[in-house]
Amino acid sequence: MRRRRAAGLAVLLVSLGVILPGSGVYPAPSDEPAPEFTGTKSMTRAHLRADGTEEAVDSRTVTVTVSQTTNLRNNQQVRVKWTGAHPTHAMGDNPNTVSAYLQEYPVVVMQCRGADTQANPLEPTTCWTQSADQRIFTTNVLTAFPPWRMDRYETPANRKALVGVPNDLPPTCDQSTIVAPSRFVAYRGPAPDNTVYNPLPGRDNVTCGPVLAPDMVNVEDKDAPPANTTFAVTNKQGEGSAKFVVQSEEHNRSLGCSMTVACSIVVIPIMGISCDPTAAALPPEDRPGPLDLRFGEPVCKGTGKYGENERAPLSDIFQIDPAVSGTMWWSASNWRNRITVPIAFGPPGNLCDQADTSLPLDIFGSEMLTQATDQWSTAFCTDSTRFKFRHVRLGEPQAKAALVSSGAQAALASVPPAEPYPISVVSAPVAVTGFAISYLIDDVDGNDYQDLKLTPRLLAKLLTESYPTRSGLRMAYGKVKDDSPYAAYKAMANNPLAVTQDPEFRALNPKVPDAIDNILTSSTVLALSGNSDVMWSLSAYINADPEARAWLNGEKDPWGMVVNPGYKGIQLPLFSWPLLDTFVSADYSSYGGCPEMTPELEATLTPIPYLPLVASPVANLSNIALRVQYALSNAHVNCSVLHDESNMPIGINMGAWGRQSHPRFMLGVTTLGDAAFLQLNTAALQSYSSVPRTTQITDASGRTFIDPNDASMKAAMKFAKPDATTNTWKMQYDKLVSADGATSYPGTLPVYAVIPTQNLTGNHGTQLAQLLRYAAADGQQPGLASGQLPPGYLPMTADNGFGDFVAYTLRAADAVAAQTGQVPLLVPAAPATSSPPPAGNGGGGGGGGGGGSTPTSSALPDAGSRPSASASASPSAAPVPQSAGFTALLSSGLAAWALPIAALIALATFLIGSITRAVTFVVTWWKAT
Amino acid sequence: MTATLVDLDDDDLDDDDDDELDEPVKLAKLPVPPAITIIVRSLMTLAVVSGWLVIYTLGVSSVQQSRTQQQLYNGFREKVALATAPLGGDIPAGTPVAVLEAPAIGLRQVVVEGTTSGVMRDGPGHRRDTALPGQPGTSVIYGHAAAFGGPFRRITSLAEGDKITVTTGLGIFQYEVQGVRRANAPLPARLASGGSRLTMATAEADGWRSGWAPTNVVYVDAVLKGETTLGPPGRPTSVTVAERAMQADPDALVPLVFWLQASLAATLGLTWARVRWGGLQTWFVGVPVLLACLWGTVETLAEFLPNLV
Repeated sequence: MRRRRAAGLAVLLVSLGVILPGSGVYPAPSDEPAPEFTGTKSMTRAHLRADGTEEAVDSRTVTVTVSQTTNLRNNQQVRVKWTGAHPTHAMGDNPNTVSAYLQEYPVVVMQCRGADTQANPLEPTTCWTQSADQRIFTTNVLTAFPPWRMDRYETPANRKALVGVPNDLPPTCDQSTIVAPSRFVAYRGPAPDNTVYNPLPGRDNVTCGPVLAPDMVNVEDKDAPPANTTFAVTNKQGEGSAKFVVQSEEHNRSLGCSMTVACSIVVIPIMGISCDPTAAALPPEDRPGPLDLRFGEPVCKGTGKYGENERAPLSDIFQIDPAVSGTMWWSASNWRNRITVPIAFGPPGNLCDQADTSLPLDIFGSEMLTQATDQWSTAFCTDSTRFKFRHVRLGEPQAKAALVSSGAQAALASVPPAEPYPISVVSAPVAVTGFAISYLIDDVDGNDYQDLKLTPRLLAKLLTESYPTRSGLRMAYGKVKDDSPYAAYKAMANNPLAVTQDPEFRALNPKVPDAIDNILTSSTVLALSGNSDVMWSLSAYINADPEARAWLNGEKDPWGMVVNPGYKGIQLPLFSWPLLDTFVSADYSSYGGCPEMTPELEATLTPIPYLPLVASPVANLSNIALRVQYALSNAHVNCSVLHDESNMPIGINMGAWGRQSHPRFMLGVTTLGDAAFLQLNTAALQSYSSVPRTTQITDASGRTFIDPNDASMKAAMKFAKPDATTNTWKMQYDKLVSADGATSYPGTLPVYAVIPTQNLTGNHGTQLAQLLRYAAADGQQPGLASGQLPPGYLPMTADNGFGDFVAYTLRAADAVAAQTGQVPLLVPAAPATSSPPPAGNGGGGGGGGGGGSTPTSSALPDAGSRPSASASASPSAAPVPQSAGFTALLSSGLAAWALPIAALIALATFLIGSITRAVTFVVTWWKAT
Repeated sequence: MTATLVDLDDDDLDDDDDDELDEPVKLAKLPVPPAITIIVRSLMTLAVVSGWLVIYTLGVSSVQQSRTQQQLYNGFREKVALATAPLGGDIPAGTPVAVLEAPAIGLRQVVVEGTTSGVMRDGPGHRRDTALPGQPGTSVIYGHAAAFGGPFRRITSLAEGDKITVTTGLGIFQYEVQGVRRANAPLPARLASGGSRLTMATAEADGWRSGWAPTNVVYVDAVLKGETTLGPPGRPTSVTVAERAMQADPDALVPLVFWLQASLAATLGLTWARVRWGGLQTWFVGVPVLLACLWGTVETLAEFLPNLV
């Protein structure tokens, strides 16, 4: 079923995602819950002939659905889908850039303030655009009558030569740049000011009044998320979809949508301007003359210069037919075709701060619980019988350390620390969720790829900086001398440049293009730089897989790829993934892509390894999710030279690469909650392989790949085994990757609230007990409303097989409320491990657990996991390389040639001079005699 | 007859023969076209200038340099004795800052602050954006390999373990050579906190260029054996392009223009003088003037050579 659709209705597949019915958990491309909005509208493009009859050109019936329209949260991504629209011609690279309107027949999706009613129809003036450019048309397309002036549905006032120039401009305003024909579509800000921004040319001219709303941009920042104005593509079947990010006033104050200010999503399928070239009803000066008609009418009646779904990244309005482009979305012919979707925002994220100014109770830790606590906290602070708490996102190891050393009242974590807590704490499960490898990939047909399969070995390859990325770097590996400290890197000379060129990846994901454009992101997976239980679990999963472990130990994969020597034999799992590539070479400069680089400047720069720049992990998981959502590459190779006042190069700046163009490829480690909230695609991870690891596979047969969903997470949680030492359930990764675990999603993790049962200040014990009891009951109700469990979490209920989890959390709540130092035991038969275990549990080394049968379980992380104060600030850093680099070759042609040439000149001139003189003398003498 | 020929070789005396015409003069003058005369004399002038450039750079300048060294040494000795030698901060270019001694190769040079070609006429130059010798960090000293006495001509024969003594206003520091470092060799290991390294840079070449037209930069690293001493802060953090290795000093253009103008003026003046005074007198006065102009021009021209040559 899925295959067939993938072949046939490629774009529609984008939207055929995910989510089992009635479940909270994200992706499994089966079907989606019914969209909350469906609207249909018929639209026709019909020109008006001189005799008053109509000439219908195109007629469509467009149906729009929107996945969620109520209880929206700021920056939430919804899916907007449509059928029946005119197929897009001249498709651009990215639907969200400032020049994305340069497409033919796009579908414009935008967010507007206000509701659309008969009495008060919505106007373009309250619709948000990314840039002021998207609100003006000043180009003289060969005629004084651009299509908007011939628009038969426009009012006579809007068909004049100059539209949108206010009469009350201050006298100081320089209007010399305003030339007819021009149309400016003002933007009106929210109440109470309702400031009107006129997008006049010379926008920095402050004397003309407000021109650019504070959140609009003139020049887009390639490394920042774009605004939500979307010019999306429709496929040949008339179907299309857009991932639309709704933004409340928390993000966009200039638009000002909120729980109380109604807003709409406006979908405008561009059909083209319906022309009225004769303009019989207009005053004579607004009627096109014969010459205007000759040039203007064909422009107005244009039907596109490109073929259907032809990819054409354009930069100029002259390359397309403006009448069918997105640039005139505000013209009446287009505006009347709009389908308005009323949306309602839920309580804002800062509701608690507004509702109650008292200090919240801070709970530190796991980003995996962020989405859940966002919904839970509003239910707590608005209820006077509860209390106000705040989830402070922090790496779990730091949060665990803060419990001991900094007096934190509660921590959220998934993995117990390597050594037992020196104080009495109870770890009560509050949610079942996990991590995902989220991705944004354009497949060979240009559609959103939805079927990514990854093996632990592929993840190991991506994480260990083993893809050279650049052919120059790969050649430098080949040139390494045997006596060099980097001799081991020579083996990497045969590694594929990126995962998309890896035969293992190609066998599993044949529809992903092998594109050189996205080589920076297809050679790595964006990971966390800090300490995190997510990285610990991910590395434990990789470590447990025999194939991946053998490869990490130095064994070649069946195609000959080897691990980066910096990671060879790395001991896993680790709380913090280190950057261990140290390769620098005189043959490859990491500053190679730097424009304006001078040899003198380059000589002053220390050579740095290239691959850590490509990997560039970030500090938190939400940032990774954002970067995956917009395919913002974090590879810090965007080099620019810095100059001092006298324009002398003084240094360089290595910035992130930023937004990618088509075809995009982006992988990142995210939480399941973030992936669901942002509707990211999540990779199916290999749970079991029956194929011998030396086989050169050509397809996915013999391997099971599991999407995160309710069933697969439920299956995985069966391998969470009660552990007497730590009083928690431990994930048994060796079982998860075995045949028994074939149906389980290996990224599944429980999240525990770790709370001291002694010495909590004030009434925090009672309050936290209330939170635990809530998490064990009402908090597990799936839904999008305040207090419910959002998608991305498997409800922790007895129905789902978590009866013992719920029971233990309730017992833990009692202990937290009592504050007597008692810790309820998970395994009653182990009395020796009772409550305060300061020194008793000598065998605490196994506390981290996880990689059971692997050779590394005895060598648990020595960095960042000690429950001492030092752990809170010690993300393990990459080791200092033995040598900072190589001596650059510095030579001078001037030095080589100045003196030899001077000597040569001296000799030559002396010789020539003497000979000339001698010859002259002889000739003179001969003539004289 | 012979006199006339000699005159032709050397100066414009033949023009003079217009007044009193007699037989032999006519014989010599008649067939020599003025174009030939001009070409020959221009070529000869060029030969003299470029020949002198080579001779000056490789030979004469070393005499000049050793004299300057002597003066610098005397001055620096006194300053060290009086404890007024510069210790740090922003030291004006050309100030002597250290005495560098490497007994293994018979090197004893006064190091001056700054590394432009102009400054390094006087001796090895200390790069201004590096620490002074004996202070924590790496000190970089550039030295000519061939020109201006080639003080660093032989530093590449320093072997690991050789001693280098540096005397500055802060004391006497013993460095131990780690080795010679050429292109593509690994950089020295990162300096331990508080350590001090001395890196000497000069140029070298193989083959026929060896010894007089060195092309490639070569480094000699040495580490301090003993304690570092802190100096006053305020060292410059960057240097101009002309102060980097193997760079010429474009600022020498200004003096060069002046010297060329002076040469032109001298030539015009002497021509005038020759008409008024006669040949012998003009020569008597003119030769020292012309020589001075030639010296000055070539000395300035030498600043356009890279600072490590």
